[in-house]
Amino acid sequence: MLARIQSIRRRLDALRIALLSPSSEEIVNCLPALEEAVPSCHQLELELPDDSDPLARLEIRIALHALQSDLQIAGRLIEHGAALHQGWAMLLAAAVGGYVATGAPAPLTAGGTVSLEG
Amino acid sequence: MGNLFSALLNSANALQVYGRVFSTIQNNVTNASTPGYVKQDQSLVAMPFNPAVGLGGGVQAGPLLSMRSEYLEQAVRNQQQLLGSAQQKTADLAQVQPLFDTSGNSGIPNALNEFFNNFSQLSVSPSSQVSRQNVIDAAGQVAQAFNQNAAGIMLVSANVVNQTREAVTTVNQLASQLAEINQHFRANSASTQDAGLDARLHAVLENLSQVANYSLIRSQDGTYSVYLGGQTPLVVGDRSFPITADFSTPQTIIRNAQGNDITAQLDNTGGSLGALIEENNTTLPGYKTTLDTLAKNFADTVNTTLSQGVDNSGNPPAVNLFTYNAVAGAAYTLAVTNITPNDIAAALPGAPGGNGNAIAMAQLANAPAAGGFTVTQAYGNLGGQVGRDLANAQQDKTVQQNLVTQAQQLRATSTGVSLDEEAAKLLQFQQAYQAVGKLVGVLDGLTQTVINMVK
Amino acid sequence: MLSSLNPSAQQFLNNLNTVMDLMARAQQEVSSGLKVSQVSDAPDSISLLLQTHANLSSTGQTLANLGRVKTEVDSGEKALEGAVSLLEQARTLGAQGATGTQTAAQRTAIAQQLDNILQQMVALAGTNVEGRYIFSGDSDQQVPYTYNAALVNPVSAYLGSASTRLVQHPNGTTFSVALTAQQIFDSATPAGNVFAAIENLSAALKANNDPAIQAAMGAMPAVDDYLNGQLASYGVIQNKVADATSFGQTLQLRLQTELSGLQDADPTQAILQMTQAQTQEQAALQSEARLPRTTLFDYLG
Repeated sequence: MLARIQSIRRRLDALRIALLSPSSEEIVNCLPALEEAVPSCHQLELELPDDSDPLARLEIRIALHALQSDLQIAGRLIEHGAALHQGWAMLLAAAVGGYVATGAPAPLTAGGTVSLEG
Repeated sequence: MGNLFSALLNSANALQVYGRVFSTIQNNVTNASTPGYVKQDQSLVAMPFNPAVGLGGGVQAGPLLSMRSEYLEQAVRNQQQLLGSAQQKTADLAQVQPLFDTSGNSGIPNALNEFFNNFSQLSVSPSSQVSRQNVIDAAGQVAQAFNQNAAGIMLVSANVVNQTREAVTTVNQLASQLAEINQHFRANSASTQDAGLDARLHAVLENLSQVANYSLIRSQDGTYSVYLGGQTPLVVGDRSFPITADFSTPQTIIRNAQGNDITAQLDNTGGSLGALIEENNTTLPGYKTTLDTLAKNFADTVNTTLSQGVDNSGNPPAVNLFTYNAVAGAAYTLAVTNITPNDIAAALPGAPGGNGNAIAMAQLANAPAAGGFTVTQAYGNLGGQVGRDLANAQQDKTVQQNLVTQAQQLRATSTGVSLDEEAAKLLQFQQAYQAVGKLVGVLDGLTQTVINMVK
Repeated sequence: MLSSLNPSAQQFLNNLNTVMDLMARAQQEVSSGLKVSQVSDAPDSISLLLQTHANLSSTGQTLANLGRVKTEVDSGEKALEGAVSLLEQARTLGAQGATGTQTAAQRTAIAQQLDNILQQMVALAGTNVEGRYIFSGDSDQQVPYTYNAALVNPVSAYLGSASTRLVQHPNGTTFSVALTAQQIFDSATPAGNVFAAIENLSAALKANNDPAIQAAMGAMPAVDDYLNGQLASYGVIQNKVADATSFGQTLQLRLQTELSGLQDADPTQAILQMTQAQTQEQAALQSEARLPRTTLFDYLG
C-alpha cells in the first residue's frame, strides 16, 4: 500500500514541476500518468490494513497526510496558474478592444466580413 | 553630390543608432541576473524616404521599450507576501516545538508522571519520611517544568519582538529608497525610462512585499505611492512616512508617522511583519494562556485534594503544596511552598496513618480535569495545537514557494532576459553594422573621388 | 531579500532542501527508532501518545508497589504459619499437663513453657518488614504488643491502630491486604483470642486446677480453627496480589504495543526512505549538473 501511495506522489510531483512552467504542453504530458493515479487512489480505500499491525497503520497514516499535502499543492498551482492566465487574457483582450461599463474587456469584433460566392 | 552627402550622413546616423542597439543588448546581458531587471528593446523607426522630394530616409532610434508587465509583477508580489508570512511563521513556531516533548521522558509530561508515581509510592508507606520528601521533590520538578515551558514561550516572544523591530526598520529603509527613486522621477521625467532605476524600483517593491501588505498607486508623474494595509501612507511622491513599533504593552502596536495605531491593518495580512504581529498578539499569548490555565487548574486540584486529608499529626494540612501568581502567569510562577514532609496529607480524616488521600492524589493522574481531559491529555492537546500550527505553516510555506516560482517563471518567460535571444540580436545587428560600415567606406571613397573631380 | 537566482535555480534549491529535509528525517527515524519525535509529526496523536506514556508509567509504579506489598504479605503469611505451629505446640503441652499423673511441679514447668510460647507468639505479632510493623494496622511504626513476664497479664493491650490502608490495583480500583495483630491474635470473642487461650491454659496449670485446665483445653480447638482461618485469609490476599500483578503485566504489554503503534518507526521503511532520499538527492544534483549552461554567446567568435 505504501508503494502505491509513493507511486501516486511521484506522478503528482511530475505534475507539480510541469505546473511551474508556463507551457501547457508539459501539463498535457502529465495527464496520462494522472489518469492512471485515479484508480490507484480508489484501490487505496480497499486496502486499509487491519488492526493487527499498528506500525503499518502509523506509516500509512503519515504517508496519506503527505499525499494530501501534495494534492493541495497541485490544486493550488492549477488554480493560481489558471487565474494568472485568465487575468492576462483579460488584459490583452482589453488592450485590443477596450473595456465595457462593467469593467470587463469588450468583446472582440471582426473588422469586416468576407463573403464567398461560388 | 548632395545625394552622396545625404547617404553618408544617413549611414553615419545608422551607425550611431546601431551603437544604441548594442548598448541595449550589452545592458540586457549585464543585468540578466539583476533583481527587478526586465528586458529592454531599442525600437527602430524608418525615416521618410522619397528621393524625388529630397527625403533621404535612414533609420532613427525610437523609444526604449521595457517589457515589464505590471500585471505579472503584482502577481509575483501577491505570492511573495504570502510566502513571507508563511516563512516567518514556520521559523518562529519551529522554536516553540522543542518545548513540547513527545517521548514522555522529559518536560512537563515526565514531571507529572513522576509526581503522581511518588504519591502512589507514598501510599505503600505513608509514614516514610523519605517517601514524603520524594513527593515534595517531585512537586518541585513539576513546578520547574512549568516554569521552563512558560519561559521558553516568553523567549520566543522576545525573539519575535526583536524581529518585529528589524522588520519595521526594513520597511522604513525600503520606503526611503522608494522615495529617493521617486525624487529622480520628479526631477527628470526622462528617468522614468531609465531601465536601471526601474529595476531598482521593482526590486524594492518586491522586497517590501515580502515584509508587509501594501497597495501601490502610480501617479501621472511616474512616481509610485505605497499604502500599508491599503490605507496608511508609507511613501507618497518623494516623501516617506516611517512607521514605528511600540512594545510598551505586551501586545505589539505598529504606529504610523502621526503616532496612530495601525496594527489592525497589518495583523496577519501578509508579509513577515503581519505574521510577527499575529504571533506576538494572538498565537503565543494563546499558548501561554492555555499553559497558565493548565498550571492553575493542576495546582488548585492538588491543593484542594490534599486539603481534604490529614497530615502526619492527624490534622488538616496548614499549608498548601503549590503556590502561584495568576497575574504574572501561573505557569511561570508555579512553585512549591515551604511545606515539610510531615505536612503532606496522605491520610483521610478519621484514619490518621492511613493512605487514602495518597491514593486519591495518585488517582488524579487519570481524573478528568477541565474539558473532560486529564492534565496530561490537556497538555498533549496544547502540544498538538502547536504541532498543527507548525505543520500548517510548513505546508503553506511549501505551497507558496511553488506559487512564487510559478509566477516568477511566467514573468521571466515574458519579461526576462534570454541570453540566446540577446546573442541572436547581437549577431543580426553586428552584420548590419558591418554592412553600414562598408557602405560608409564606399561612400567616403566616392565622395573623395567627386571632390578630386571638381578640383 | 530578493536573490539574483533565476526561478529555475531557486526552485532547484527549494527541491534540494526538501529532499535534504526528507533525508535528515529518515536518518533521525533510523537512529531513534521513532516515527513521531516532535509534535508536528502527528499533531492529532500527541494527546493520546502522552497519556499512553503516563498510563505505562503509572502501571509500572503500581507493579513496583505490588512487589513491595507481596513481600509484606508473604512475610505475614509465614508469620501466621509460625503462629499455627506454636499453637499446636501449646495444645500438645496442654494435653500433657492435663493428664492426671502430672504433679503440681510438673504442671508449673509446663506452664513456663507455655509462657515461652506466648512470648514467641507476641514476637510474631510484632513482625517487622523493612522498618514497618506489618500487623500494627495504620500505625506501622508502633509495635503492636509488648510482653512483661512480671505482670499478671504479661501481654499488653493492643498498641497499634485499625488497618485502613488499601493497595492500588492496575485496573484503577483498590483492595485491602493487611489484618491487624488484634484481629489475628487478640479478638474480642474468646474463640478468636489466641493470647487469652494460652494465658488461660498457663494460669490453670500453674494453679494445678483440673476443671480450669479442662476448660482451657476445651477452648483450644476453636482457637486453632480461628487461627488457621486467619492463615487462609492471608492465602487469599496473596492470590489477590498475584492476580493484580499478572493483570498489571498484561496491561503493561498492551500499553507498550499501543505506544509502539503510535510512535515507532518501521525499521525497514525508515531505511528504505533514507536510501530513497539519498538517491533522490544524487539524482537531483546530477540532473542539474547535466543541464546545458551554454548560450549562443559561447559560440560567438
